[in-house]
Amino acid sequence: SAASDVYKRQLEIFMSDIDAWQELADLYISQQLYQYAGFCYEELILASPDNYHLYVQYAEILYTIGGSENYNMALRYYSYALEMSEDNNLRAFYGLCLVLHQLKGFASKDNIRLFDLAHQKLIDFYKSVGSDKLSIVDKVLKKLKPTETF
Amino acid sequence: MPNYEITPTAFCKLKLHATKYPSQAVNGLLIGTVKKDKVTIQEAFPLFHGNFCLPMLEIALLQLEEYCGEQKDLCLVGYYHANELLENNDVTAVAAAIADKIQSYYEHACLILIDNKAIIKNPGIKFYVKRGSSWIVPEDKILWTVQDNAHDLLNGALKQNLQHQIVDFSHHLDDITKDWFNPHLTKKFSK
Repeated sequence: SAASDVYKRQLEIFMSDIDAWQELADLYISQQLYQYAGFCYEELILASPDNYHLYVQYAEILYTIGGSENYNMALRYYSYALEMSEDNNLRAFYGLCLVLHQLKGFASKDNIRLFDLAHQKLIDFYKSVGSDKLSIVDKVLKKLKPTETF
Repeated sequence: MPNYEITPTAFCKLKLHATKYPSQAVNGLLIGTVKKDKVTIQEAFPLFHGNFCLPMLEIALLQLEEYCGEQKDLCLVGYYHANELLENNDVTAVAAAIADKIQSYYEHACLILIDNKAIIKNPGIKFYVKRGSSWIVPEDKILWTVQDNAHDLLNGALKQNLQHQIVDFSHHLDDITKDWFNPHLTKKFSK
């Protein structure tokens, strides 16, 4: 579209214009061009490697594109994000559970342990604030849980 | 083919969601009861504002599916959406895709597009059903109405700036103490 052309020209000149990369990524997402949005996020992460939100958003894009390679990448990025910050990182914990569910055909002991950890963290969060969503969240996660395959 | 009725609570919540984020696209899910030839859209669950991706949408859907399972007579019956651009009054591909997914829960699911140019007018929404492979305005014999005092309720809510109190799923993900079921608003509306 016309808008993305403008941004691309801007970025050719100013490669480090972070806001432009973000706006371009948003444009691509709104047009369902997730692959291109992913490229933008790679640049954003290079520019701000400490910003765990970017890792989570990139993982979400990878999940949206789908396929086991992308699910595995998303798994890594969600994990990096959680290494950086577990506090309040609901999106990453939920995302991790979803990705592990998608990878259930390759459920190793490690993946299952990881799922259980994420499950427990989410339950703990909801419990700690006395949320009435606790039971719904717990039931949903139990249904998503991968079981061991060989 | 059923007729559809939108309760004031659902109507207000989806409008408030749109007015809270005037410069962004918003969307959400509709839950209600289905009886023979009438669907009553009881509640609106705001989901996202701005851009969103698949995973959190799936989580929200799974949670609402579970909620409906617990409530026995409630079911996912529709999807609402407001486009980002003022002039854009079309059903976007993403909106259609999500509405298609809701159809898998209820075959006569509806799609409500908030009319950006008439958000605070009555009814200020466009109503669509699935015919064949497209979401279109239903035939004349299909009646869709907004229940009587919905518009007055919305005006009252806007006067009190209640749009600042509406919580969507995205907001909940950023702050777990915020309840995207908006019981505080439901309580206010039922008075």
